[in-house]
Amino acid sequence: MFNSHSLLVVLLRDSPFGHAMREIPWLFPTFEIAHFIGMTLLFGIVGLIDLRMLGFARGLPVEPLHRLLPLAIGGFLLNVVTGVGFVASDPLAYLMVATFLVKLVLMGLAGVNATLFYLLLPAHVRHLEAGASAPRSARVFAAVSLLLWIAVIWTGRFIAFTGKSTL
Amino acid sequence: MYALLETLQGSEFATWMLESSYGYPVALTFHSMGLAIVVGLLLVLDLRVLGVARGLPLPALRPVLRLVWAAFCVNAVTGLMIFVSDAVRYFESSSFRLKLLAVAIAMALVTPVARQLRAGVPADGRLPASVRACALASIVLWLGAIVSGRLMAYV
Repeated sequence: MFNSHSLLVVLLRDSPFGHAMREIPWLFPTFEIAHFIGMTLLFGIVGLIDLRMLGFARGLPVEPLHRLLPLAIGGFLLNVVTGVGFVASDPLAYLMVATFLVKLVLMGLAGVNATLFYLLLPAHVRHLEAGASAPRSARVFAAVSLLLWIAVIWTGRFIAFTGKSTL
Repeated sequence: MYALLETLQGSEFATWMLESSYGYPVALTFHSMGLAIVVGLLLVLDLRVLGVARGLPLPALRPVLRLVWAAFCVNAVTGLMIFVSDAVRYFESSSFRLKLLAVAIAMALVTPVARQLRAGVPADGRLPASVRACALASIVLWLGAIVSGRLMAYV
């Protein structure tokens, strides 16, 4: 699908970012650490909101939980930057690995799912009081979100076993 | 000590961990998911204790602790599985020792935070400075555990 002359591969590999990832020895491990921290922020916060929608810890009002979302989005952006860094370090080692491409698709689906959740559901779902149950539609979105993010972590970890990146 | 470590490392289980196409990858994947649950959820609790998202009532956060402990058990088991597969190297690794120390102290700090969740917010609205210090230390220690855990792959 890609080879060493593909535009995307050349752009990423020959960018200053790609050079820095290959030439500064501490940068790659530092990015890996940041990628784990971003993952905990995103999965911890989004996962907790999803679980609350599904009826776990029903005593939590939903609106203050949503105040934590900027932190989750911060974690996601941190992971986009560090993730692009990994790919730029050796584009073909990722772009030719099916697990990596599946991870990208799953993340895209999780993004669509989250967008639809906010666009389609009435605003009161985001303001559920303590003790209130979420409507069935919100539960479906929450269950899909939880499964997709679990699958993202699973496939992300498996890139190292199916490709040639760091274990 | 080394006799024990070498026995572990030489066991059939250790060989299975290293040679089967499932043992090591599956253990490591569950370990990553456990990490995301334990650290992600404790981070939310610690931030709440430090004054973020004050609208969350402390006692309503208590069920979160059950999930943290469940995920911690998953990580204790998967961590042990990974340790056994290469016991001598992990035992000698200073990153591994630092990580264990950080995790042990951070898990001990769950106790005062859990006690505060049970007690709720005092009448004056301010949580005791000692509990806030524990929450802050917990965040720093988990960051330290992630850093040293990742560095085990390098040094």
